[in-house]
Amino acid sequence: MKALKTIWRGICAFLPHLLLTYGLMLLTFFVINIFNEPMGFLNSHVSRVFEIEYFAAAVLMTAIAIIENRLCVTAFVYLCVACAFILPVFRAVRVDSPLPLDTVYFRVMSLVFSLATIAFAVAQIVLGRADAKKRYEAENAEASEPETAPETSEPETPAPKTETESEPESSEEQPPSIREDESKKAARRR
Amino acid sequence: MSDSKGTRRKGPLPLYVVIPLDVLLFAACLLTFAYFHHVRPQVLKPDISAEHPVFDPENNPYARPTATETSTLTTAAETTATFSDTQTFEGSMSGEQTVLSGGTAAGSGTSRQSGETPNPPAAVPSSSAIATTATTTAAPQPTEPDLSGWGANFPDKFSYGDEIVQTDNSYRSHDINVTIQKLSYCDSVAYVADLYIRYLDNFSSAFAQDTFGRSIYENAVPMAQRHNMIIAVNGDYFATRDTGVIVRNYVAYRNVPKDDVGALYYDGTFRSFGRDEFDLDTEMRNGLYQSMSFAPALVKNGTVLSGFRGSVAQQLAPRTGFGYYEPGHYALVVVDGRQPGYSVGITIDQFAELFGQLGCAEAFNLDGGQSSQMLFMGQVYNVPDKYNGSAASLRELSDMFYAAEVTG
Repeated sequence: MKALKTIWRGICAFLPHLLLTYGLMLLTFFVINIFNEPMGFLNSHVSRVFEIEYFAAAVLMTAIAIIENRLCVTAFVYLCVACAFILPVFRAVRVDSPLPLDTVYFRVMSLVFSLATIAFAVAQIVLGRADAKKRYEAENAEASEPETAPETSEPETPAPKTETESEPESSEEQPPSIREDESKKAARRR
Repeated sequence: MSDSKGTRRKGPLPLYVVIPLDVLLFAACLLTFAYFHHVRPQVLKPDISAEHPVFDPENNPYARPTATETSTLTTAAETTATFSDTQTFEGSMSGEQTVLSGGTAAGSGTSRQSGETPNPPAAVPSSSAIATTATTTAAPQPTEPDLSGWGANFPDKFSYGDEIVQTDNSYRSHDINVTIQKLSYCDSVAYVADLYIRYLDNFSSAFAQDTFGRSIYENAVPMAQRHNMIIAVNGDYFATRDTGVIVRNYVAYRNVPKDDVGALYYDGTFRSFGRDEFDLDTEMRNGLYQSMSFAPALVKNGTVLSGFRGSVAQQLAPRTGFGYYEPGHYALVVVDGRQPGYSVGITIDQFAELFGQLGCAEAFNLDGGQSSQMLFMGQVYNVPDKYNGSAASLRELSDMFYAAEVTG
């Protein structure tokens, strides 16, 4: 279970970066396609595989965003854009021809989807990093506290008072050594 | 994440690590895509899904007579001789001017409308071998022209017998007559190969490595030498794409019309179609011999097309095109470009205008840019973009259209 959790966290952390890469790739292909359409960067079989893979990554990213409760509405809008992008691709797969991709609609959607992906992926990366930082700080604080230290966040708790518990709430997350120093200073002041 | 022993969890990677990693990931993904899209060769089979009714060349009234139908020609001992019958033309044209009178060899042909049928060939054979030096036969040659095939249309264009006459810019045999002219056009240099063939199989196409597929390329020089090409130009460069109609030598390889389609038929006629006009089954029944799919069509039914849009069409670039005058009479044109001081290149509009000035009834654009290559007797004749004199510096091609002697 712990391993699965680690894998899930890894996917959650890696996927926005992969999606950002895919978005940049699609944007690159879109630009190349303007100048050199015969190369078929948007229409070839290989491109079709890439586009389907890209769509799958986008759906997974949307699911993660919703599960993690991060930009849920934006994720839903992004999913709609992804679906609008992939429809002609699926149609091309169904008839086994790259021709349905050769439309203005598909080209416009390629641009929109790539830009949306870049924006969404960057937002996910930034928010994900902020969350991870918070989690990291909180977990580090927890890890720094003695395992036997009773909870002091609730003043109503009728627990036996110790030196550290008598300190103000703002010092709760500080390491014990700092708290001890401050209590000594307070005693001296008294 | 902290473990049960209270060890500190590592925080998120700093940005100065994340950004280079993202760049590396992007590069790796692009390289992987490029490998599958451009590099990995993929041999493909002819398109047989639609059971195209392939035209039977055996029943082609315009085809070269088979060996059983022919009489044996006596061969004569060859002796070397000089040939100065053809004259080199190096005129100049501006974009608005017509071809100068001195340069009419390529444009002197009557521009018949496409679809006009040629005279059916008589049962007379041809079996000339390619001569690598200027030679002529010493034995008595026929004094009357051979009117078989399209020889009746151009009796003075072909050798009467087996003699082969070659100069630096021309070649004449019993079946083939080609003269290359170097023209100045719109600050660019154009090479116009005026080609006459007696039978259709003198004009053919070849795949790189003799294989149809994706990302399969070959240098033009060994390709030309392997097929004994007398005059050759690059083709569609289809190996980078999954689209286009590819029919070569009566075999349909791909049927994904994406743009205009040029079609050369069993009777030597040429016609271009719009994307929605083309139906492979119908055209195969009509005897489609070679297709061209790079597009666009430049001249249609004698009308020069114009107003081509798109950055590729409007930039000054090297160009290659195929022109049709009448059955058996064609033009292979290559315009050099991207070489300031020598030849800057032309737009598609200008290219179409050039074919119009040459008098072509139909013309079709082939791949351009660095691919624009013309080879004469197995050697590079024009000055392709980024060509440094070595064959190795040529861009590798996926296909070529060429004229060659047919033996046997």
